[in-house]
Amino acid sequence: MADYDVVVIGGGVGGLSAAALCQKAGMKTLVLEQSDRIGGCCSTFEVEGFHFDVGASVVEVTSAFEELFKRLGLPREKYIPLVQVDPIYEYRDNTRGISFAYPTSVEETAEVISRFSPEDGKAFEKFAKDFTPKIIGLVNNFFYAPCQGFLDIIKLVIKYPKILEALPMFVTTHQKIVAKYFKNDDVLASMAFQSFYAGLPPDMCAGLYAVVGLLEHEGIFYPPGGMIKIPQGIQRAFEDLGGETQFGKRVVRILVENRKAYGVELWDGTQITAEVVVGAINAKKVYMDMIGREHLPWHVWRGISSMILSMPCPMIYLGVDYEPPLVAHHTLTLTPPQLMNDYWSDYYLKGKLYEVDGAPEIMGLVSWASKVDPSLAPKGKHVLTHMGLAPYNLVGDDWDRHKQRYVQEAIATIEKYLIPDLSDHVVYQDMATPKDLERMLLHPGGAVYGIQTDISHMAMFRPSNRSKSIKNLYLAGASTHPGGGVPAVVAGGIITGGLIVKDKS
Amino acid sequence: MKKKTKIIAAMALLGGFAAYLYATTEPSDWRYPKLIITQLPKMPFRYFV
Repeated sequence: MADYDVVVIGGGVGGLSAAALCQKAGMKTLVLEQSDRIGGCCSTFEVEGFHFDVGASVVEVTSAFEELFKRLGLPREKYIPLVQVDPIYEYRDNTRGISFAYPTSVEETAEVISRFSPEDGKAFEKFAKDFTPKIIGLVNNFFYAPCQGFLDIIKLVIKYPKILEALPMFVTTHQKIVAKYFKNDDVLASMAFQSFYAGLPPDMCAGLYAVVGLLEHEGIFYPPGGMIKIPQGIQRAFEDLGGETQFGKRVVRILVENRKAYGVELWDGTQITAEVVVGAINAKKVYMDMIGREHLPWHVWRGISSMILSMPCPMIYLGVDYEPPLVAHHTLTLTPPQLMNDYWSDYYLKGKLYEVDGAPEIMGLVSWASKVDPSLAPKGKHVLTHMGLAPYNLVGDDWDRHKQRYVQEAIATIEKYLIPDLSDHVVYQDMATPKDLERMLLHPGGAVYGIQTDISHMAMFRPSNRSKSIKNLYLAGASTHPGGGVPAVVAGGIITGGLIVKDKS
Repeated sequence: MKKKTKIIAAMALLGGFAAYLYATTEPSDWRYPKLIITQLPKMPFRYFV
C-alpha cells in the first residue's frame, strides 16, 4: 500500500490548489517543498526588517481564488484577505517631464488619456467595451476547462460558443490590436509592456495579451503581509482539511515503472510512494530531469524538449529610508512598441542587456508594496522591487559576476526616468538573477512564467495537466494549461485537482 | 482512432491554420507568422506531452 494517495512536488500556488482539492475529496495528500518557504515565485522573504516579494507583486482575476475556495467549501476572505490597489499603473518619463496614472475605472482612465489625446481617450472606452466581455468570458470558461486534446476544445466550444469570438485575438498580434485603436505614441508606449508577460514583444505576441490588461480594470489586489499570504492561505486551508506539508524536501526523481508513476525519491535517497504524483514545478524539469528519457516515448521527449521557456525576469530588491515619490503600486517608464520589438531581436536573442548610446538601461516594472502595507518595512522606510526582462545567458559575461553591476545600472535607470534621488536613499539592496531564480525555485532558465505563451504552446499544445504518457502523473504550475501568472496558476491547480478527483473517485 | 491517424489529423488542421495565417497576415508583419510557422512542425509532438 502506498504511503500517500497523492504526493505533490512543489509548494507553489498551483500545487497547493491541486493538493487542497484532493484533500477535500478525502485523499491523503502530501506537499513536498524543497525550500523553507511556501509559495515559490508568489512568496515573500524578510531581510533586516524589509519584506520583499520574491516575484509576483499583485493579483488580478480574483475569481480564481473565489472558485478554489468555493470548491473547498471555505470562505476565501478568512484565508486570503485582499486589499484593492488603485491606480493600477503610473507611467513616468522624467527626461520628458511626463507622468500619468491609469485608475481602475475605465471612464477615469479614458479621462486621463483624453488629457493628452482626446481621440485615444474615446478609443479607450471603445476598446474596453469591445474586449472586456470577451476577455472575462474567455477567462471564466477557458481558465477552468481541461484542454487535454481536441475533444476538450470541442466540449468547451459547445459549452461556451462565444469563445469562437476570441479566436481572431490568437491569430493577430498585440501590436496590431493596440494600433487599431490608439494613435498617440505615449498611449501606445503605455500598453506595450503587457506583451512581455507572455514572454514576447508586441509584434510577436498573440493579440489576446493586448486585451488581458483590461482585466486589471476589474480591480487589482494585494494581500496585506506580502504575496506569501496567498500561498499561506491556501496551505492553511489544505492543512485545515487534514493535508500535510513538508519543507526542505527536495525531490530528485519521480519513481516510474512501466510508464506508471508510483512515488518520488528525495535528495537523501528517501522514497515516498503514492497513488498519484503531481509535478507542480516546470514541466520540462518534471519530464526531462525527474523522469528521464528512458521512461518516455520518443515523440513525447521530442515534444517536451522542443518547448521554449518564457523570458527570465531578474528581480531587484531595494530597501529605502524614505517614502519614495511615487503614486502607484506599479510604476513603469514608457516603452514604445518598436523599442520592445528591437529589444527582443537586437538584445535579448543575442544575450545582451539593453543600451542607449552605449549606456546600459535596465527596463522594468517597479513595485512599491509598502504603499499598501507599511508594515512590510521598518518605520519610516519602504520596500521597492524591480522586475526586469533579460536573457538567461549573457554574452561574454556571467550573471554571478554581473549581478552587482546590473543592480547599479537598474538604479541609474530608475533615477533617470522615475525617481531622481533613489541612490541617496537605498539602505538595502539585493537581486535574484535568472540563475538565482533557477537555483532557488527550480525554474529552468529562470523562466518564472514557465513556458513561452504563444499559440504553439497553448491549450493542448502546452504540457497537459494529466500526463498523456505517464499514468498517475499530473502536472500543475505556470508551464501547464492555462499558463503563467498567479490567477492562471491557481486555475491550473483547480483543473489538475479536478482531474485527479474525477479519475480516482 | 489510431495514433498515426491522430497525427495526420493534427497536421492537417495545423496546415489549414498556417494557410489561414498566410492569407490573413500583411507581408510587413512577418515576425509573428514566422514564429508560428517555425513552431508548426513541433506542435504535433507537443500535443502528446
